[in-house]
Amino acid sequence: MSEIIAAIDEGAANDFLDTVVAGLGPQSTSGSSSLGPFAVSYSVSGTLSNGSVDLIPPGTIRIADLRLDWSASATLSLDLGDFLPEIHIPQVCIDIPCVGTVCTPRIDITWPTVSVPVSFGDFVRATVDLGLSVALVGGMWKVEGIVQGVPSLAFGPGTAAIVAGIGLAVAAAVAWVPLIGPFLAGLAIAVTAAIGIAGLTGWLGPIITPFISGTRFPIYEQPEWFEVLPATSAIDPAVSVHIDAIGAEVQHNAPEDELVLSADISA
Amino acid sequence: MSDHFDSRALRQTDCYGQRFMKPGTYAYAIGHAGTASMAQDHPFVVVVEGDSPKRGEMAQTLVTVRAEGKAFVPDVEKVTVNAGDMVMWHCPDPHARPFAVSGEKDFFSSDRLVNESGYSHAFTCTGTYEWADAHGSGAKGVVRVAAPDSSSDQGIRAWQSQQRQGVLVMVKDGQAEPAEVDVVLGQTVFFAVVAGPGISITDSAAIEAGRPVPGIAFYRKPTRGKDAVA
Repeated sequence: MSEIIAAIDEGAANDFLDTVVAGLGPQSTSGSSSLGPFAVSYSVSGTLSNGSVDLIPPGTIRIADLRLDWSASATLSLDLGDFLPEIHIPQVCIDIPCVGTVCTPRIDITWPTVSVPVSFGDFVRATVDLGLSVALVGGMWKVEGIVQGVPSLAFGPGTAAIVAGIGLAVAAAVAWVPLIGPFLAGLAIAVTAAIGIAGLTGWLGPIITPFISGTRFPIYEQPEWFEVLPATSAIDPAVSVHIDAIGAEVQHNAPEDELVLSADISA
Repeated sequence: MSDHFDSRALRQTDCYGQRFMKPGTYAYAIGHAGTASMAQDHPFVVVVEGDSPKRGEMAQTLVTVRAEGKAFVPDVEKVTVNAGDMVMWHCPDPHARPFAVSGEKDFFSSDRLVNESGYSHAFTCTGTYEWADAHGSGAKGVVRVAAPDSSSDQGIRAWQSQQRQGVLVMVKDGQAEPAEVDVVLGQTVFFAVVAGPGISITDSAAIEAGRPVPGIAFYRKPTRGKDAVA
C-alpha cells in the first residue's frame, strides 16, 4: 500500500491539461525540401491548445481535438520556364521612307528562375493518446504523458485557400518579369495545380506532426528528497522524506475514471 | 515594373543600326555603356565598298554581339558592306551588361545617333513611356504600351500579329514624327534618326534619375542644348 495517493478526475484533468498545454509554448523548425515541383526553404512554428481529456484505464490519457495553430514562411524557387511556353519577340521589318527596309532580329525571351516568398498559416486538429511515463531524472521524479504513435492530422478547409494564396503570391512576385503580363493568370493556375491540396498537406504533415508526436506533457514533478517539516531550532532539524517510487495509472473508480499517482516514501 | 530603354545602353531588347554612305574603313569598339566612347582601341571594322548608294537599295548586315568576360565582341570582326547599306548591332544575351558601339568617326556611335542611324526597342512592360534626348537637343516623344487581350485565342493571335508589326518614329532636327505612338506589349519601335546633332533615345525616367539605365553608375553630361555643362 502506497503511503501517498493523489487522484484527479476527468474534469480536473481537463483543467490541468489546459494549463500544461498552455505552458508548452510555441515550437518551431526549419529546413528545405520540395513542395510539388518546387524547391522550398521554410520555417514553421506551431502552438498547441485546447483538447478535451478522456481517461482510459489502465494507462491512457486521450486528448481529443488537440489543436495545433501553425504558421509557415517559405521561399519557393520557381523556374518560370517549367510553366510558361517559349516565347520570342518576332523579327520586325520596317520600311523607312526613302531609305529602305530595316529588320530587327528575332529576340528569344528566357524565363528566369525566381524566388517567391510566401507566408501562410492555419490550424489542424488531432486526437492523441498519451502513455504515462514515470522516471527519476537527476534526483527529480517526473511523471509525463507521452504521445503514443503518430497522430493523424485533420487539415481544415482553409488548406485550399492556402494553395490558392500561394498561386496569387507567385503571380505577384513575378510581375516584374518582362512580358509576363499575359501569362500571369495561367501561371497562377499552373502553380496551384502543380502543388495541389494533397501536395501541400503531404509536405506540411511530416513537418508539423513532430510538434505533436514528439511532445511530452509534464504531469507531475517532485524532488526525490523533499522537506516535510522545517527546522525549528538547532536541536530540532528539518525532517525530509525520500520518495522511493512513484506510480501513475488510470483507474476506474465508479462512477468515473481517475488519474491516480501513488508514492512510496521512507525517511 | 516598368521598362527601361536608352540608346546609349543597349540591351537584349535593343538594336543599334548605322547606315554607311561613303566608301572607307570605319573602325569601332564595343564597350560598356557610358564608357565605350572613351575607348582608345577600335579593334573592329566596317569596310564600305562601292560607289554612292542607290535610292531604295539598302541592304542590311546584322552583327551579333556577345559578352566575353568583361568585354564585348562581335560575331564578325570585319564586316564588308556596300555604300548605303546598314549594319545593325544586337546582343541576344539577356544577362549581358548594357553596352554601346562607338566608332572612331563622330557619326558612328550608339551613344550619339547622328544622320542615317537608328535605334530599336521592344517594349516588354506595359505603361506610358516618355522619352527624350539625354544630350539636350529637345527631341522627345511618348510611347504607350498596352496589354494585349490574352483572354481568348483570337486575342492572342491578334497580339502575336501585332507584335510582328514594327512602329517607325522618324527623328529629324530635334523633332519626332509621330511624337506619340501606341503599341502593344512586346512590340518594337524603331527610331530612325534622319538628321540630328547626335542624340539619344532615352527613357525620361532615366534622365531624371541621372543615370542611363539601372546598373550604370554615371553618364556623360550634355554638352549641347539647354542642359549643357561647360
